[in-house]
Amino acid sequence: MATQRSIIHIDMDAFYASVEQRDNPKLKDKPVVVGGSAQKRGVVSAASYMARRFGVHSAMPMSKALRLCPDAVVLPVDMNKYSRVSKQIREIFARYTPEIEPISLDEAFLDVTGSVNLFGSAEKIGRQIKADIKQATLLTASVGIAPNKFLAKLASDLEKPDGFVVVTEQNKKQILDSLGVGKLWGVGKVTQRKLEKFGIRTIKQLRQTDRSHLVQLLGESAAQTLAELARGVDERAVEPHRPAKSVSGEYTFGEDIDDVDVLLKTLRQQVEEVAVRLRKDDLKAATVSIKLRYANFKTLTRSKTLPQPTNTTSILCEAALAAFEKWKAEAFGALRLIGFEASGLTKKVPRQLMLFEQTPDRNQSKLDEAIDNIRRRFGKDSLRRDL
Amino acid sequence: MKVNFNRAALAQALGLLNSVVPPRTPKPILRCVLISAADKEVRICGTDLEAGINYIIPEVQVEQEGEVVVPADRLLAIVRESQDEILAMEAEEGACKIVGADSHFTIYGHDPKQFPKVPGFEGDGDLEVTIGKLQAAIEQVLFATAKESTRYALNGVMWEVEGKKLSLVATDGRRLAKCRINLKQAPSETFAETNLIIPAKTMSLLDKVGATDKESVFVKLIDNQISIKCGDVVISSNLVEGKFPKYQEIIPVDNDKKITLATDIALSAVRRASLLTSEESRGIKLSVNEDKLVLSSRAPETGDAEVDLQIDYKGKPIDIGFNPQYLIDVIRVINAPEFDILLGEPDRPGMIKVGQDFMYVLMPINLG
Repeated sequence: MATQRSIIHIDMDAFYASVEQRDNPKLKDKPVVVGGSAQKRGVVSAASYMARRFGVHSAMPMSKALRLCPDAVVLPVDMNKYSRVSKQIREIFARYTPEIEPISLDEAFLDVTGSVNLFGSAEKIGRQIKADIKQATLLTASVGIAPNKFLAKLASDLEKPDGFVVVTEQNKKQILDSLGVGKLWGVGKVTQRKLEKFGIRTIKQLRQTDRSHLVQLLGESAAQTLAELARGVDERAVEPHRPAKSVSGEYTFGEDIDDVDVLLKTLRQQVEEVAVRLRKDDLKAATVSIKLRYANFKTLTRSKTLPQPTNTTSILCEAALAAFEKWKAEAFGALRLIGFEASGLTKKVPRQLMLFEQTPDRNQSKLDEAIDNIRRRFGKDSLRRDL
Repeated sequence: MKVNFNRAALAQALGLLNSVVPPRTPKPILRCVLISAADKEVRICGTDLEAGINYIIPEVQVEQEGEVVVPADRLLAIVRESQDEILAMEAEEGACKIVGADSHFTIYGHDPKQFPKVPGFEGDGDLEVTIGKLQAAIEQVLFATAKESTRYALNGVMWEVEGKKLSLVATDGRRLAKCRINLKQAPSETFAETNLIIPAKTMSLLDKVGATDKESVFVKLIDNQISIKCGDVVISSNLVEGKFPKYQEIIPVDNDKKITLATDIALSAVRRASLLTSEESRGIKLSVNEDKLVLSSRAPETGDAEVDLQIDYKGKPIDIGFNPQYLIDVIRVINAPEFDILLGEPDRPGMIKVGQDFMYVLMPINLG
């Protein structure tokens, strides 16, 4: 690579929970859990560090969190509040570099390679950002600084909360060596188990594993990526305008549902919501997937590729229903969650119109356009499809 | 079997046969041709079981009757590479010897009894048309057929008979080409009654038959087969099953924006305007304004292109997008110095017309 890059990864500590604790000092030092209520079968969105000591973590069912930590203070998710704080933080980032890739409300990558002449070393910028955040929001962030995204994210996680770790070309090997393979990007539980079965537990062991052996285990491309990551190499750029890869919506039922009509109705609602968002952003989807989570949390997805990218509700719906019917025939069961995702997104593709089948599509897009307009003017609930 | 062939005549026959012999097939015998010598006539047959050719080879001298089945590509290669005027072919016990002045080949063949029957042409035809007219019409529509569509009917060319007119119609669902030919006399009733869709491959075989333009082509229908005879060549083929779309409904009747273009100028303009298009942005825009047509394209990764043409136009302006390849395909086969483009709305089909007998309907690209 031409120049040595300086990447900063910033991750707010227990973000939602910390915001709640800041706004209500009585909650300080208490186990705070933010998420949907146990009665409504919600899941944990964030847990304070105190709650984490009991084993509570995000994405865990709230009922389980309360079993682990009966004294936890459960608070509903207040997305508007967190968005406001997130905006404050992003404004701080923008003082130091335009190269910001937000990952979520509480996490972002910054490329400050071009900023060091103005503000001093990456380490200095990192410390300054951390201080600015503390001053503006009274919240703590963990900061990781490294020559690439993978190491920066790894670094911000090493001394959480309130961490500050700098990884350099010189110390990266030492830091990586001691870590488990699970810390590598793209290594989930399944891959980790697969690797451990062959005695590959640490990143060091993975680096020392024969290349052909890795290829055999993981396939060509995964082996290549992991071998590079294990050496601390990651050339992905910070992408300030990362286009959305997918648009999705999902719904968790209050109780497990095996009534096909209810499932279908809910699925249609999700499709409609996703379709509206696609049209708002002028996007078309090439692939649709439905997500089906059984009572035991086992989750399936079923995908379907569309003949042409579209954002027409009726066409997306038809594809979703086809995927649903296939699932129903093969693996029907009571569901706790159903979701819909549109992916393979493209913007304004020149689209060849068809001689013999253009009419329904054309009318449907006009219908969608009219519905969207009415809702924009008179509110989201002013008009409903008969689902 | 023992036959002396005129090498050039045999090469021509094998060249046509080679177009019907399938390049890949689970049945090796289909990669062969059957050569049968009887009395004074030598026939050569090949088939892919969908279409077949039964060809009487001219300029032969039969010394001994008999049959042989040999791989078409090998035989063609030998015949093409040879320099001799006369090639002698002798078959015995499954092997075929080909002898020239300084060469001697032995090809191992298959059992002639195993070769599928390829029908000849018995009796009179039900429809007669001159080969020149028919081949010109084929060239004007064949490119518009679909390639491997699951709607099988689109993979063929529809023959539509109305009185003394025969129309060939082809469409892939995006564009449609129709060419009309005058017949000497109205064909038998069966033609008007049958749903006649002929596979694109059969049509292209017909287009390859070498003959003088005035020679007659005779056509007849037997069950679900069509048989076409032109001189010494008989092409037989299954018909495509399935329904051809009701194309009359999509032919625009009120396209009021008409421009006339010189064929060669239009072809060059479309080609140039499309030079920078890419796979993702393959559309070119036609902007029609008073006395001016601008063809332009833009590809985010590559750049943009614009070609301006002077035209005689006083109507309402319109911007419309088309796949340039679909325009190039048609302009290339227009055999007239100029043609008309008739447009309606940017999301409705445009039409190209040449005289009364050729029409092309093209769905636009929604440029977004």
